[in-house]
Order: sequence, then C-alpha cells, then structure tokens
Amino acid sequence: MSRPGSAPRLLLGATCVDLPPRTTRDRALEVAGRFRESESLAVTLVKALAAGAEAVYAVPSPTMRAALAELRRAVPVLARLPHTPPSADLHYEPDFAREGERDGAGTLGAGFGAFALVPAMLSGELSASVAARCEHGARFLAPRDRRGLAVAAQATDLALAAGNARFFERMLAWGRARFDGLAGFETAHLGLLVRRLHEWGIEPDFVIAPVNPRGYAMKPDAAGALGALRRDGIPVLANELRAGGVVSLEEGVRFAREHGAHGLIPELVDLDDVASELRALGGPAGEA
Amino acid sequence: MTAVPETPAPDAGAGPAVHRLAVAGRGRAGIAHAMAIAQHDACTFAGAFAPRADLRRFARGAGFAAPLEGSLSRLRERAPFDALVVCAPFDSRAGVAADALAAGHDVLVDGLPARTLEGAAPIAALPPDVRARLRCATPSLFHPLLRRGASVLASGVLGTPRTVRASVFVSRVFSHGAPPHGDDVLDFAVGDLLVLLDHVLGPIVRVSGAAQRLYGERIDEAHAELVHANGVVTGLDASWSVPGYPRAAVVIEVEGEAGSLIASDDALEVDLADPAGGMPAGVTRVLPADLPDPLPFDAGEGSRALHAFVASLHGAAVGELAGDRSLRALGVIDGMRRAFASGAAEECGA
Repeated sequence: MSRPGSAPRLLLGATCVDLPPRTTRDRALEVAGRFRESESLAVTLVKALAAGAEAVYAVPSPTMRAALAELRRAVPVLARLPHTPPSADLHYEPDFAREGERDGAGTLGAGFGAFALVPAMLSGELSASVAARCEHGARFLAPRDRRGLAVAAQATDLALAAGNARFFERMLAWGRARFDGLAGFETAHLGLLVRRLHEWGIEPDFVIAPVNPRGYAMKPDAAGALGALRRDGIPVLANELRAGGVVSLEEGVRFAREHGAHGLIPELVDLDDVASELRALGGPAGEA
Repeated sequence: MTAVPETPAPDAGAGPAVHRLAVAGRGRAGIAHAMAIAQHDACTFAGAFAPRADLRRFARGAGFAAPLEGSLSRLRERAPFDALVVCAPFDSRAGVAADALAAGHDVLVDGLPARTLEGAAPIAALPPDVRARLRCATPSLFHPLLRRGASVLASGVLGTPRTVRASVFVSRVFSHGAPPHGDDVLDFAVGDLLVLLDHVLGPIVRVSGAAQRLYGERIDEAHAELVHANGVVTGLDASWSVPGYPRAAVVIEVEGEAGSLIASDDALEVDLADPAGGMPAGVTRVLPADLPDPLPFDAGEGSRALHAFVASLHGAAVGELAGDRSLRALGVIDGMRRAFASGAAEECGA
C-alpha cells in the first residue's frame, strides 16, 4: 500500500499563516505581519523551493491561494486538510459534524478513489465527512500545485482515539487519488498512531508529528515518540523542531535526523532567513 | 530555565483502579473528553448522551463503540457509569449536572455550569454534601504556565501584592462565518479568567466597571475593578474584538513588595529583588517547553482537567476543580453585568 521513498525530505512549513503556531505570541504576530501581503508570501515560497524545499506544507486557504496566484509557476503543496480554524470554537459542534457544506458523493472528485468512500457515506463513517471537508478546502489549490494530502491532526487523532482503522484506509485511498500524489496523516500522538497503523497493517506515505530535543508536544512522551521514529515502514516528517522557540533550528534538525526522521518541516516561524537557512539544511541532495 | 518551584503533576495520585466515565453532550468538548477518556489508563469510556441525533451519528461514525443515547436516564439503563463529564450547552448544563449529582455520580463540568447564577440554580438547590461532588474545570486553571504562576504566587515569594492586572484578549466576534450564538465576551472568555483569579487571589466580593458594545447589543469589551475578599484589587480588561489573537491570551500581572510576576499562556516571567523560593534574583523566564507535560494523550484544553478529575476519583486532592469556585465566578459575572448597567460598584455573591 505504501510507496517507500516518495515522501519528501524537506518542506517549508507555512501552516502558521492560517493556524496558531507553537511559538511566542510576539514571534507569531511578527511573522503574521510579515506575510500579510500575498506578494511577500509568494516570494518566500519561491525562495524556499530554490533553496531545496521539495514542497510547501500549508493550509490551502484563501491567503495561500492569493500567494500562489501571484506566481506563474507550480508550487508543490502538501495540503493540510481539513482546515480547522481556531474561530471554530464558537460552534458547539465539531466542524466535521456540521452539515450544510456537505459536498456529497458526486463532488468528491477523486474518480475511482471516491469509490473507497461509498461505504463510509452509507454508514456515516468519519472519513466521508472529513473527505467532504477536504474537498471543500481543495478548491483553493490548482491541480498543478497538488503534491499530496496530510489529514489534519484533529481528524487523525479523533479516529485514532476511537480506534477507527477504516478511516485511515479510506482516507489514504481517497487522498492519493484526489491529490494525485501522496497521502498521510498529521498527528499529535506519534507513538500511538504508529503502533496502531502497524497493528492494522496500514502504511501511509508519511506521518507528520512533533520531534525536538525537549520532547515538547511529543506523545505519549519523548521516549515513546522516538521509538515510533525508529520503526520501519512509515516515514516520519518532523515538525515543531524548535520546541516552541526554545532550541535553535540546527539543534532541532540534528536531533530529528539522529533519531530517524525521514524528513523535516521547519515552519516560517522557525526561520529568519528562509533561503539561507533551508539551504543550510542541505535539502534532498544533502541528506545522509 | 526551570528554577521556578514545581507544581504537582495533574495526574499525581492516580491509582490502578479503573472508573467508568460517561460524557453528557457530544459537542466539541464532549468529543474531546471521549477521546481522552478512551485513551486514559485509569478509566473507560462508558458511553455518552446527547439529545441531538446528528451528533450521536457523528460520534458513532467517528468510531466510538460505547452506547450513545438521547437522554441521561436511557444512558444509565444501557451503560452503568461511575462519573459523568458534562459538556452540554449552557442552557441544559446545570440541570444535567444536578441530575447526575442527585443520582450519586461524581460530576465534572467542562467550563462554567451556566451563564448566570440563576441558571445554576439546579446545582445550588442541592444539599451541600451532594453539591460537594461537583467539579468544574476551566482551561486557564490547568494551563501549565498559569498553573506554575499560581504556585509562585501561593509560595509568597512576591510578598504582599500591590498591583494586580488581569486580561483576556481573543479575536472572535468578527470571525467570518462564525457568529457566536447568544454569548458575549463575559461568557466566552471572562469566566475562565475569573475562575483563575479566584484560585490565585481568593474570592471576589465587589466589582465596578464599564462595558463596550462594538458590534451590536452584546458586550464586546469589559473593563472592571475587582475587589477580592483579602482586600487585593485586580484591574481587568477583556475583549474578543482584538485582531491578532487566534487563541485566547490570558495574562495575570502581579507586582508585590519583593518582586513581580507576569503569567500567561505564552510565558511566565518572575522578577525577584532577592533570591527566593529556589529562584535567583532578577528575571526568571519560563516557556511551555520548559515545563513537564505528563499527559500521554492530549485531546485539547480539557484533557488536563480530565486527568485531574480522574486522579481525584482515585483519592487525589480536588484542588483547582472545586465546584464552588465556578459558582462564585458566576456571581461575579452577574455583578459585572449589574455594575455595567448601573455604573456603580456591585456586591458579588454566590
């Protein structure tokens, strides 16, 4: 089911454009101000690709679309979907539970991939509503820019906690077809997710999770998450490398690589000079 | 930098026995609690109830196999449980909690139990020994940095507080496509801060201040002076109409005789004139990654409170979860509304 070796080694994380990053508020506001203009974001994306990033890990939001529209070239985007904005906390029910924006079976748009979701649609299984939400967000992404789908941690971890193996199977099948590429899962619970995926025999193209020397946000704890990194079969793309700004990027990257991370996702909030710092990480060619 | 005195881990005291926990309300918080319960070593997810069929369908579709019912009585028949986590909407929250307490269950209410003291009447009407099983959890009480700040204040290293300021800012009311239903900034954010202030500085007995309505009839900003029972006065500012705060920013600033403290969900800074309480003279700064995080599964801001609740079921101290604190916060919110209307100082009572 998996396609070993196809997961990227270096991505620019740009989720902080649309989601609260784990960093100090001052830093978050500074970066948000820097990329308020779509031109600034567009230039940064191009510089990141030139410096060795294979793709951009981002929410395909109107903000990101405006930046991509500034460019006349393809920018490979690993799309973090469904979008889960903080303002959703004004609603009593979870985003995925809300009806009204449901795109329905006919608009899931994955050709044969949509067939994977037919049982879910009939039974009300989570993957149907999550895929519909992903479809809703995917409209902000031109086909030329699609590199793959990363199911957002809120959806991943809900299915994980509930022990819903079918969700993972179905989202992989649909995501690979719909996004013409890779499909994987973002999680806050690397240790548990990797253990369950192995038990279920499910092999996503990648998993995205926090990895840093402080063990910050690594679940169930640092040792458990590092154990998951060492297991074969599921490439882990490490984010939260700077532990909320407590350690340097170099230190975080060194730690992640030493412990077996397949790839790295430094976020915009982790970088001051995107081009030079990404180039220093070596990019795909510089990987050991 | 971890020289600030340690606070007990939220799960300190948890034993090996397993409790059956149920959830009332399958909304956002209910789902999060079901996730955390399902992955907790010391409890099992017994089931849930929610009157709305679509939310029950959603929970079933997510993969939860435990019984999901439309009423508390039906859930009791199908799935015996020891304790209930109440995440129902404000309008029914206190009633559900009171029913469960009267039936002999331990109860954790996620957030304040109602919008007003009157709304919490079903709980207030319970005999004191029954009401004593009520636990309430608001997010700031369990945020690691704010918890650490509270323990620094409790240690007395700052001396007598001279000036206290507290604020909560969040960008919500103008959020595209997300108009809040019925609530205002007092319900949405100030209640959380008031519970924290009650915990760190004691009960609030009198309030005065003014409110601003920027986008309609609801209160969007509040500025108040809170007088605590011990004589300490806190200046409070709150707004949910400030751009740039996707997450609520809760801040408490205390200036004492021997030093000052700024505690927030962003960082903790303690500035001492002389070494005290294991901290050096000068500024000690702590960031989230500097603190231990004992949660093996984190389903959101309610998970730490859930851990503390499960620990309390196993005999750990109730501590921050004491339900009376939330009832007092409702009394303060009521007092603020009266003070904003009258322009005069108002007494608070719960």
